[in-house]
Amino acid sequence: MPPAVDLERLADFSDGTEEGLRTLVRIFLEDISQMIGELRRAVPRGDAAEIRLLAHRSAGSCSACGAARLGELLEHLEEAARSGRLDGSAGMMTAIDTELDRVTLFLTDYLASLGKTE
Amino acid sequence: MTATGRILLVEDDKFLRRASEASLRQRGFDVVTAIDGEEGLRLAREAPYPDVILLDLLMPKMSGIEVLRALKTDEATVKIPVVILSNSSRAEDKQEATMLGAAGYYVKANLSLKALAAHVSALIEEHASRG
Repeated sequence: MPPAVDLERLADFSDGTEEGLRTLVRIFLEDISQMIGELRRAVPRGDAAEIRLLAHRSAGSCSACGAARLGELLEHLEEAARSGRLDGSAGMMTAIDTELDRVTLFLTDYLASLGKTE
Repeated sequence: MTATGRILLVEDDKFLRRASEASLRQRGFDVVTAIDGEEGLRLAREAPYPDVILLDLLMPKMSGIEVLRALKTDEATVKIPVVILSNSSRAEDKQEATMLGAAGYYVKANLSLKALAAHVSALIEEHASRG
């Protein structure tokens, strides 16, 4: 299984400084957790418009930061909401939550490893 | 590098708005943010005017294209460089923004905050040298 986050893409997106990278990762983790939390609440309601918007925004953030697998899962959910086929959305949400945990752990370890090089 | 200049960032995507704002502030820019096109246009028309405007295309209330068109037909804002941040990589969208007077066009999926800050600095210097 590939790493949860492509660090090369993350570095390309960042402003090129270690401080900037730390800030970027912190903002990403805060926002992606919040957006996926909102998505988790929207899925049981079957609110296709809200699911589509939240999944689209979350996928965009993941793509910018190199969290490719999480981005793909969110795009699948976005597509399901767009086509009105939300019957499998609970299972998709479980996969998204599992991958979010993997991304969070990966980036938390990465931040800690940056600290050790100072 | 510490830069100076006032940037108006009009972006409804919270993550990109926060990430771009933090990156530009860290480089010394004064950053004002708006979360939709209507608010962005209002702030662009308020003194002190921004030196550069970063503008999303797909936004609630008023699209980036509508905002760009309004800015470029207003004497007070026509000279302010506008850089587009878009999810769309379609050539037609880039062409439309360029024809309306955009000074740059970035596709968000390939965005580099470092490159964006460098572009903003260059636009401010260019604008200042023209007086």
